[in-house]
Amino acid sequence: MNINKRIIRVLVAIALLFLALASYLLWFNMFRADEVYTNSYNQRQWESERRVKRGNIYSSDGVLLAETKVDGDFRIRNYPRGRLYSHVIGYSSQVYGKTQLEMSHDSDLIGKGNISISLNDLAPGNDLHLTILDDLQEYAYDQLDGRNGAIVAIEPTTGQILAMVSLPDFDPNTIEQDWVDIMENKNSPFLARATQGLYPPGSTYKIVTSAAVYENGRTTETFDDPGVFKQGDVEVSNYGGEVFGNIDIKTAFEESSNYVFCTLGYEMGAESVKSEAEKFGVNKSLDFDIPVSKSEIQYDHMTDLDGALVSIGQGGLVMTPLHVAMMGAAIANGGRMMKPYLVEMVTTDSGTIIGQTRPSVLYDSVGQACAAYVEDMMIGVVEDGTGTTAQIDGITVAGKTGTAETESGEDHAWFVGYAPADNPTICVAVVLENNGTPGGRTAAPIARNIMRRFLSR
Amino acid sequence: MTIYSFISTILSYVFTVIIYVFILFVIRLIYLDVKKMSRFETSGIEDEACASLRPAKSKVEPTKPLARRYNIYGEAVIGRSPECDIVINERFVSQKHAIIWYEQGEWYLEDLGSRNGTAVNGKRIQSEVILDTEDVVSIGGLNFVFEI
Amino acid sequence: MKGRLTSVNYRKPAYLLVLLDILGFTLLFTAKEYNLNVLYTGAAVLVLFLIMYTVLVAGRMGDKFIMLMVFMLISIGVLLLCRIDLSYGFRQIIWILAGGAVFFIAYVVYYNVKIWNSFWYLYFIAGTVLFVITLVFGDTVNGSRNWVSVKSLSFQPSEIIKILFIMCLACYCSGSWSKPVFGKVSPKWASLIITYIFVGFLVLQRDWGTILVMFSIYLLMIYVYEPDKKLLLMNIGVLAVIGFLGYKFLYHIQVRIANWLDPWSDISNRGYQIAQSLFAIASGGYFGRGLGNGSPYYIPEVHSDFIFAAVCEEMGVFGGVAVIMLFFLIAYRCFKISIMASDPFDKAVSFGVTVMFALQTFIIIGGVTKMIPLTGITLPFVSYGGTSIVVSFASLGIIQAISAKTERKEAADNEYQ
Repeated sequence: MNINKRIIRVLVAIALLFLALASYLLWFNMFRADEVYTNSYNQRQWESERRVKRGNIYSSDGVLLAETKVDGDFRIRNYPRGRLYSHVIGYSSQVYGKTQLEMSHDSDLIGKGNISISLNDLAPGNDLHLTILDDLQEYAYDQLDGRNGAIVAIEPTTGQILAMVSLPDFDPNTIEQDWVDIMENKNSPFLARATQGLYPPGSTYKIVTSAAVYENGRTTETFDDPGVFKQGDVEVSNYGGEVFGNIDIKTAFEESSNYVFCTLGYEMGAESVKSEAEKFGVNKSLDFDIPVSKSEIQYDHMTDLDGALVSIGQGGLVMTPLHVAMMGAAIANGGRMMKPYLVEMVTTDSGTIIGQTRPSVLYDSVGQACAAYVEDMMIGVVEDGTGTTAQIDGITVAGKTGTAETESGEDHAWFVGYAPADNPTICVAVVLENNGTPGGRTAAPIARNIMRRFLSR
Repeated sequence: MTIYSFISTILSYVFTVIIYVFILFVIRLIYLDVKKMSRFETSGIEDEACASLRPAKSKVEPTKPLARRYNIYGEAVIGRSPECDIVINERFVSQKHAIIWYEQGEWYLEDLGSRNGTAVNGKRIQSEVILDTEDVVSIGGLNFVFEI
Repeated sequence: MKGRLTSVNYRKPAYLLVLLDILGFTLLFTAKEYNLNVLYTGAAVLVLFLIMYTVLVAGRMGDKFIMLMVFMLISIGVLLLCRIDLSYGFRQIIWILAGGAVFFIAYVVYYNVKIWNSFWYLYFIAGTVLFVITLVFGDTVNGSRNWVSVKSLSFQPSEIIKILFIMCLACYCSGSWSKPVFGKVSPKWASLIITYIFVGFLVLQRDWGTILVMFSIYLLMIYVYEPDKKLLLMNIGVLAVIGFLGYKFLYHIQVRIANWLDPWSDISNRGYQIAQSLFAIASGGYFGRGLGNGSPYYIPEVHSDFIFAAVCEEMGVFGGVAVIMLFFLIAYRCFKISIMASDPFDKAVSFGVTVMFALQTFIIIGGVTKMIPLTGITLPFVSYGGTSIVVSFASLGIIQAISAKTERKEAADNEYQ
């Protein structure tokens, strides 16, 4: 009997071994499989590619942006518009993998799930149709004129991206030859600034702060602006050291008084500033067609003084240009922030629509009355404030300039604005990285040109 | 995706289901088998759950010789059918005649609707009864002494 | 707990097995451009299964579950082999046919010969002879010198030696080998020496997987049978020292450990096998890519040692877990047979064979999934390989014979209680 007892013990040990084996296999599949599968040595990733002709990508106005040329066993991914879409479409390389839309919409492009009748023919993948207007994209690209920075144009009522440019960029057609140069370039051309660049938004963020002011019922207050906000060891002066004296909030917004907004932010308190930011999607991940960095307030414990800095778009606050555009678009759309999207529809090779994106509300950031209050001040900025360079003849433009200080290097020039103010169809955010000029001088005219170009279509 | 790989993908689910149902069936069979076996094993059942039936003098004569003692582990069905735990192959014993089982310290006996009935100490039983040691259980007239 | 007598129905799982084979081979038939050989192979598996199973049940040849599960594993194995390369599947069928014959021979011989327990020296001598043959005439495959070819037929003597080794140990464990050797060396020490001689031969062959299996069998058998616990501890100590020295000085073992810890740093070279195996497992997901949809060709040795990776790729992790469960249920049944066996020699033999099956399965599945360092051995009943299949069937025959002995003895006891 003793022997049987020991045999049972061995059986239990073996049972545990097998249980470990099965659990390990399940664990591997749950937590490790994705990483292992995407290893570049895994030839399986390219198999589906060999059996299909990867789909095309078109702009909203029907321009071909990406196609695949078949040459025997070789597939050459060709981008007719060259660098123009490098940070939107990305690249697809057998050596270096895939990025941006080529990666995120890979299964659409290779037509995963399509059933084809033919057994051996090359099955066509699905085509992507973007929301981007090729014409506007090229115009925006030229407007940036080689300067580092980003432009995002968005339709406020739907969230469709109309143009999205980031510089510096690269040529996806020659990615394999240029790889080493691009990797070693200290300007990091692989960084899609519009979606993954995190910048302090500077004074453009006063849009959110003034929404908080409205919600805290402090719109009627006036201030005596001495030109410098001093509290503890924090000292913030107005741009160019200006002293505004006795002003109300509207003028403070139009002239971009840091003293007034720091004071408001400080008095409303850290919690209030933070919760208003979160209503506009700061500190929250954004689900977009291509990878996006998370805009956030980078403090472990936020004090009221930190709140003062955040209120003028400095301190621990960083945002992506896409997010700044969405912030402007939310005001334009009566306080509703729409979910941004890049891919309008997916069609089969023969043109049948198999997927279409419907506009959806991302956040009900603020109420209509609050949006109207902020909009009124934004119109003031363009009419007789810091953003007069954004005026368009015969059209009311609303906007906000920004000049964000950086810890190292020159200021970022910002502008976010939309037009026509009474029925907005386009909202543009422009950032010029370390440009060293005020946003009203350099960024605003770029935004104006893009809006004018779009509205004159 | 070709038709073949589509069908094959569908079938991969079917295969998984088949294999697992197969395994479940086998586990169930093994379970039944082990349950049946455990009645013959002393080790599987606590000592209280063991009892026995010892044939005693009866009015009727069995055509074949009975065993000296029938052991019951936990429960036993008595009858003519070879599936029974205690098989008594006599005309006057029904296929499944009666059942004896142990439950929370007591032994129970119940007639399984036999033709010739089951009696305890000479009294025919209608529903389940509790057995005591030295009770005389008669199965269709054949007497046994129940011993714990 | 009223008596509910359910008549045990053995047919349902058998039907499922038949259904799986029919669906699987029909699918492969279309995949392989309507090559009729696929259908013939499938039909052969089915016919073999039906014949063997019917004979087994009708002849009351012991446990009825093991054969069901073994044929499920065989079906999965042959399906994948046909899918990888039709000629493997075809040849595997021939081996299974031979294995089936050997199964019945082993059953009849083991059942009827009652004096197996008195020939420990024969097993030892036969094992040694086989080892010497391997060393002298052997071919080196994948770094291990463990193949012997006679004309076009090649086989792995180490598979047979494992069985001989178990029989030899069983003689000592069952107590039937009690006389000291040469009047001095007690069986306890003699069996220890035999173990180390065999392991020594295996070191010369660089067959690490078999060493692991054989030494574990020895340890578990003395754990169960030897009252002297010092012997067990001493052996574990020796194993630890040898393992450490091996890791320190043997390049082969260092490479294996390094590949286990990090196969990714040298993917194109030494980590290639295990990386390819993991790629395959990772691509399968839960339900697999579907039979014929995957790309098992990238995995080296996919038809033998690495077949489990192909199972995971095409039948998914759930398929893999099912295979593990099947092996466990087989091991469970075999353990039960060993526990029920009344003859000490039978008990020891069935215990040894069971441990061999279970460990071999664990070592190779753990190896290809990178749970433990990889050592090349075959997956019983699934991998392609003549010796593996035939020896597995032979040991199964022995297990069935032991089970049949127990069952018949029990039935006799019950009748004349």
